[in-house]
Amino acid sequence: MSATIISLPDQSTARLPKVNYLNKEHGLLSWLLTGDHKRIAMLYLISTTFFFVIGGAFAAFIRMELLTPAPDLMTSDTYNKVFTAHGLIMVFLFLVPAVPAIFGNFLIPMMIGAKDLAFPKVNLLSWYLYMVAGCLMLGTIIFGGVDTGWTFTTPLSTHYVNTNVISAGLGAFVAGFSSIFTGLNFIVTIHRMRAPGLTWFRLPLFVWAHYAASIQMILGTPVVAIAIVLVALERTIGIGVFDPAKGGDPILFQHLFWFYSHPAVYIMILPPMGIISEVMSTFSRKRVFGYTAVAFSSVAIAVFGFFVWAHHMFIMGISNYSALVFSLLTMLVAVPSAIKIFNWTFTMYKGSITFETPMLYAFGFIGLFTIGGLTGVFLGVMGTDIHLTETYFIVAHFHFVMVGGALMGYLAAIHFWWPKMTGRMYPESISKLAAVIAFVGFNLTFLPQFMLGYMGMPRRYHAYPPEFQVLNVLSTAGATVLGIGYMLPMIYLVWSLKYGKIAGDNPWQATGLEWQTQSPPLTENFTEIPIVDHDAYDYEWLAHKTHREVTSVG
Amino acid sequence: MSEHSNLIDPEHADHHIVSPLVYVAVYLTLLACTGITVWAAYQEFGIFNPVIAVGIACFKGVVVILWFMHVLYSTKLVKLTVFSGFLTFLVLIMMTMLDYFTRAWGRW
Amino acid sequence: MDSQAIATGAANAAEHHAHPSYQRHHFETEGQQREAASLGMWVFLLTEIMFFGGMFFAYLLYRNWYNPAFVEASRQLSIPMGTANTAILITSGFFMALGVWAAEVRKRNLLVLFLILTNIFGCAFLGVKYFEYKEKWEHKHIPGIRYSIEEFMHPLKNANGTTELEGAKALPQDIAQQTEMFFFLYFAMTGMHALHMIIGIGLLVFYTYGAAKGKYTNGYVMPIENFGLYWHFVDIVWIFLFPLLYLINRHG
Repeated sequence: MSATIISLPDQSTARLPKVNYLNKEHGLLSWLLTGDHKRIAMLYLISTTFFFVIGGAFAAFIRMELLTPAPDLMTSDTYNKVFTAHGLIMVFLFLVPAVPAIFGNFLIPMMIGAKDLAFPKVNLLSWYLYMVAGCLMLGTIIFGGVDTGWTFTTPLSTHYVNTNVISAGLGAFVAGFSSIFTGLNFIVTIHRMRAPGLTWFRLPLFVWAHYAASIQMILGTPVVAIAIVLVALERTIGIGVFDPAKGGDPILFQHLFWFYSHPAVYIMILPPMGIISEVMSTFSRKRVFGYTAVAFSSVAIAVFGFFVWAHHMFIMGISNYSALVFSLLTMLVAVPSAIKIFNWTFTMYKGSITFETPMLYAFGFIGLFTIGGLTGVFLGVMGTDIHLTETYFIVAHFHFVMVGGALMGYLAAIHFWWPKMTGRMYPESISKLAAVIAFVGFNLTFLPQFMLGYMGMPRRYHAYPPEFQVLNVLSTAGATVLGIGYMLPMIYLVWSLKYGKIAGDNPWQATGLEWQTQSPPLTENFTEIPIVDHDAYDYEWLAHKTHREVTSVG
Repeated sequence: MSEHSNLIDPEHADHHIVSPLVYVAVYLTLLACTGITVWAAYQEFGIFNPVIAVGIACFKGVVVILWFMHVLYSTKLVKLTVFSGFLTFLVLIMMTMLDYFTRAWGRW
Repeated sequence: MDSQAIATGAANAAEHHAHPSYQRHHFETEGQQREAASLGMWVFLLTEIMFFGGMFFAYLLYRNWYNPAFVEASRQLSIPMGTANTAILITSGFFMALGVWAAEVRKRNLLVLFLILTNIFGCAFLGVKYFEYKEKWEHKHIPGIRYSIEEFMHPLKNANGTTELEGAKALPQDIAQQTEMFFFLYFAMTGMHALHMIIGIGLLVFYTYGAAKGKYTNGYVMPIENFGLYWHFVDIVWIFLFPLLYLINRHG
């Protein structure tokens, strides 16, 4: 495995560009009041990582409790608060925002040849809303927590608990609006700010993926927002909209909640899928196979994703007829995802594959997302779902797609675009090791959970029958390994800021407008707007480029 | 407006300034429809009462969107955006109704 | 969706220097900025449609489940006040549309006049709403906080024996209790609507001030136009709320 496409400038003479977006202005206010999409992306990087660590700590508590069958580490109420905190933070403060707000923000204007997003001030507002949401969630946890699960299921959340449901709901509400404004910005930017010559079908698939996710953000999030408002009103005034005693229907809340929360999972996975398209292509030196199919599949996932939400409610009391319809539609929504997996695989066929770290994470994604997605189809079948729902099978399913899928995609992105964002390369051998550790740790953590669920261990329980202990111990051991796999990048990436090799403009020799500029880029990205006359992933164009279309400074 | 604006956004709005007389016509139409809807509420149309009420409201909404909000004179993109918004709203209503209609519907 | 963009050379480089003062630097042309802002406002309105959508569904569901209670509860709302409010809001929208026209033809004083008129009618709407809410408070029809089903079990009667509210029927207690659901949805939906009106009125004051200084009559129509979109949207929400809440079964 000595072949590599990494191409760095001569380190003895290489320097970071004299002027770039990081050093253009100095001082805290220049960061806190910035309109530069790249700076905002870095603000998000720091804050999402912070919340990810907290969410991960709660995961550690869960796994520690589940080492033994007896409920001996914490009381049941505390355990409920711990898994709720883990879910709320990971879903609303990491999985939904991270990839779009970091990589979408940083890269979309560059990939389309624009100087910034359409609404820079709205972009900054999104970050502040995210921070407010984060503070609300932290405040909720510090002041006693909430124990309803991240799904706020009624009537538990409205009538049977006296924990901090409203502040947690408010946190989710505000995070939702942060997401809405990000999606709004992306949609307008992609429609209206593409460089001359950049038609829709010349866009990188990363942009298509974010466009699709943005549609879901703006159409789905407001519905969960109103659902949360209604829960808050129910708790404070007691109006009865979800209270059977007053004629309300608790299932109404669930319809409104899942109308967003199912598209939300596609919001979490579509941007990482966009990342995989870029990484697969670069490290196979080949155009993404079936570009049009992948582009249309992204949009298809976004559209169909709105038609399947009640598959989260099969056992909640919905009618058999509607359950049947939603089950059939769920089969349909799996198809575009599968199409993408096949297309990425065919991208590699007859390509020149090299195994740099981003590609390792991409491989991990392909394998783990396939398993996660397939188990999703098993769960979409009503007959199996009745037995597997609310067990560890579900937990394993969504961790495979969210962690094995989305988080691996995130890690691929962080390694792939780190040189562009910071101008530095990370140490390749440690990063490969970390990728392998994460992959092994992940499988050890979550594969046993499929078996546990299948054997009947319920989720959200902090005690279980002794016969389940072996698998739980394996799972906790895996979680430890996984934790190491995630901590290593945090360490070496920070290390690389000072000691990493200078990356140069295009260390991966990738296509894409962002790689034709300096690393780190100028604040205005391009000194003049590029004219695009080639398709995405056009490696011949790259090879024949005799002059750079955009110049760098310094 | 320079001809180079086509460079960045080849499709742009008509730039047609709508005359105030059109607005007056729209305004009077809306007032008339309000009157009709109130009148219709006092008539006995059975099951069609709510249908008529919502129908007139939809008509008024469309009129406001097309003329007051200029969608009639806007780009295809804006028209598509408006349409997709209402489509999603309909999906929410219809598919949630799918559940309630098949287990808990009708006068109680 | 446009699928072809016209590629030209660096000929437009000269264009960069000649742009209006209100054009932001990340936009290449003023037209691009205008189209982007307009699309942005429409996308935001889509989120508003979905935000109100959840409440509309709740209304649809409970009106079907508790129809007799909803009929009697709706009878408590004043149709003259509701109709007047509808007309007031439509008029407000009419003046807003005229305001956009005034900005487009660059007539500063007319723009200010129309914005002020829009505002006056908007405030009038809220004023009527205040009286309606006050009446609900007096009759103890505030769900959860101050609610009594007395008037539904025993409708108020006039001196000559007919019911004060025309056509009112007495409800048995269990059905009378369902009227609270109607009032919850009434307050939630009109309250959310009123909140949007208040925000709109605040913004109107801001824009009127800028308009008086001539900010929007030199070609920079975009903020007025986009605010107009928001204002008309709020108008449309009320156009639906009025028949749904006020005009249930007033016949028979």
